[in-house]
Order: sequence, then C-alpha cells, then structure tokens
Amino acid sequence: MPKEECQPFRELLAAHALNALEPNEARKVESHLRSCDECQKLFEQYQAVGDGLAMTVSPVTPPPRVRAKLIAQLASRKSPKRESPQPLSLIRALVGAALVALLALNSFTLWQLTQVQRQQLAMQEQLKVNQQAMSLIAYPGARMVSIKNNGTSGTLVVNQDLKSGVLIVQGLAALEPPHVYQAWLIKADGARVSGGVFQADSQITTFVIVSPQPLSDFVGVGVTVEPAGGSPSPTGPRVLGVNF
Amino acid sequence: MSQESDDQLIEKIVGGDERALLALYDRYASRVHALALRIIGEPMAAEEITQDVFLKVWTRARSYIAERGMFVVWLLSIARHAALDRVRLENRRPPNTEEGTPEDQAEPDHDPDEARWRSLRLIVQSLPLEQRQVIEFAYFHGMSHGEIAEHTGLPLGTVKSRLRAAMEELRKQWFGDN
Repeated sequence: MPKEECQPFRELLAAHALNALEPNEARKVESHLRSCDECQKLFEQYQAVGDGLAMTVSPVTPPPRVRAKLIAQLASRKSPKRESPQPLSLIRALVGAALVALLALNSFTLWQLTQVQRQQLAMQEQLKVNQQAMSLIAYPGARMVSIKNNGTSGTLVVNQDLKSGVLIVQGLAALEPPHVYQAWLIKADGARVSGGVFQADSQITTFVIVSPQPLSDFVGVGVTVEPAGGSPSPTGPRVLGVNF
Repeated sequence: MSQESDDQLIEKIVGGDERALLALYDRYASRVHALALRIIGEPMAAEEITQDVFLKVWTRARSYIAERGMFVVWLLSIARHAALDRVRLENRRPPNTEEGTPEDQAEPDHDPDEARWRSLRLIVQSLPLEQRQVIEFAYFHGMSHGEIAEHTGLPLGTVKSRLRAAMEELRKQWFGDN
C-alpha cells in the first residue's frame, strides 16, 4: 500500500521514466526513489513501458550504403581490444613532436598526450578536438594545472586571457544514456557557468571548455553528471574539481 | 544470419570482432533506423544516426551490462538519445506526423519478444488521440512537460495529467495490472 508521502511523487513517476520532468522535479523524484522500494518498483514498470515504446516503431531497413559506411569506419578505427601500438603517420608524428617540445617540463602530461596520439579511437571529430587543444596549449601564457580526484587524473590547460581551456582526463567512466558529463566554470562567489557537455572516451578524454567570458573571471573548473543535453545549473554528482 | 545471442555477440565485440558488430547490425539496424527516422524525420540524417549508433556500440560495448536489461533496449536507448541530440543540435522542429515513416517490407521479425512489442503497439494505438500525442512529444521528441505545453498551447496541468493517464493505461494493460 503506498504511503501518503509517496502520492506527489507517484504522480511524476511516469513522466520521469520518459525524462519529461524539469531538472529540479527529476532530482526530487530520484531522491524519493532511493528510499522507497514500492515507488521504485512502479517506476521500473514505467521505464519498461518507455523502453518498449521504441519497439513499437515498425522496422525500416536502411539503404545498403549505411552498412558499407559502417564497414569503412571500422576499417579505419582500432578495435576496443588493446593492440600493440601502430606506427604513427608522419603528420601525427610531427604533431607529437611539437607537443613534446611544448610540454617537456611536465612529464606526466607528456605521457598522457602521447597516449592520446596512440589511441586513435575517434576519427575526424577527435582529431579536430585535439587540434583545438594543441592551439590552446601552444598559446602564449598557457598554464597547466594537475588534476587528481578519486580515481581520475589529468591536466587542465588554461589561459586567463582566452575564453577556452582544455581538460585532459584519464579514468572517467563512460556514461550510459541519458547522462553526459558537463563542465562548469566556477566564479569566486560560487556561481557556476556551463562550459559545455561531453562524453568520456574509453582511455583519455580531451574536452575543449568554451566560456562566454575570459577565464580570468573564474577560479576553478568542476565536472558533474547531468541529463543528456546538459542542465542550466549543476544537478548531478560532482566527479572532479580543480582550482586555477 | 548469426545464431548467436546478443550477449554472445557483445562479448565478441569487446574482443574486437567486427563480424559480431555486423551481425548485430544485420539483426537490429532496421529498428535503429526506424526509430531515428521517426524522431528526426529526415532520411539522410537517420542514416547517419544509424551508422553513429553502431559505432557507439563498437566503442561502448564494455559498458553494456546484460543483467540490467536486454541488449536491444540498450541499443535503442542509445539510438533515441543520439537522434534527440541531433534534433537539439540542429534546432529542428518535431515532424508533424505521429508515424509518417513507411512500413518496411522486411521479412517477419524473428525476435521471440515480438509478441510483447506488438501488444504494446496495439495498446498505444488504442489510447485516445490526445494521450497518444503527449506520449509522442515526450518520448519521440524528448520534450518536457513545459515544452509540450508551450508547443501545443495546452495548460501545463493538462499536459501532466494526460501524460500520466496515458502511461498509467499503458502500464496497466501491458503488465496486466487491472
């Protein structure tokens, strides 16, 4: 028999199963579910209905080119299984050499960046992100801050005059939908400004933080787990934070 | 087509077996593509999303946990979110049709759970139109209560009660909880 205090939450369970609640409502429902087995059981049924809705769509076979493109993409990627390092292309070797020269004093960051080059997991999107990151690292006045937080480690690269920074993190777990990581720029008064959303890479995550204001307006960066698309303000658990 | 189970194929994908990924593609691409098409309403974008989803399976295979649920549910959850992310990124308006995609001429599905999905589909179709519409907006277009109210011009309370009633009816009938 449902308890009286469950009633306002039971009315929101179905919508929560479809991610149709506003962030503050969703948080309240999640908090209630953690302490109420009966509501949790009901919520799981609504979730099953939600999952089943995807299966109510009649199948539509995609054109053969989709399969062909998938095969082509697979051929140009490494498998998830670890393999012995592949020889770098000339361009990637030159990029690696430039990064070594810039970051010679930070051997830990150097190790991370050479690992990034060896992975080659993502295709053009990752290469583009890496190129952006390189330009920020090479910019005069770039400063590197080490990150060590509960199983994650990495480096934050900031330039106080610019509106972009680079987050390079190892140990971030891949999130299952509908969650993403969201970076937050933190002001001295504690106010948070979103720096963008991203997904974790299986090895090392490189993310370019984009700020609406110069980084000199902020004192730190935090990363939280948020619903897909991000949130106007942090709602989920914090996974790392660093002051700069 | 492979006779191996989804979980067996996923294990092989973790081990780097591309043929296992293609076996899952052959098994489920039509469902992924149909869902993407339903959400984004544009054939080329749906094709790109389909390809992207199976590449995500390739890179995220290790994160699939069989005990948490069926592979196809996990797969279509990835597809739904990929399509909704694309809709938001491109600032698209939701397609007007409830289900405007063509029926496939594919061979009958060998999915042993097909009867379950078919029964849910029939229950959805039996809902009153106004309840089907809010389900459509919430699930297939990723809209919140507030966004549905803004899009339809309905009062927020009406949207909330219709969505709640629709999902409760689906839950009761599908789980036989009358």
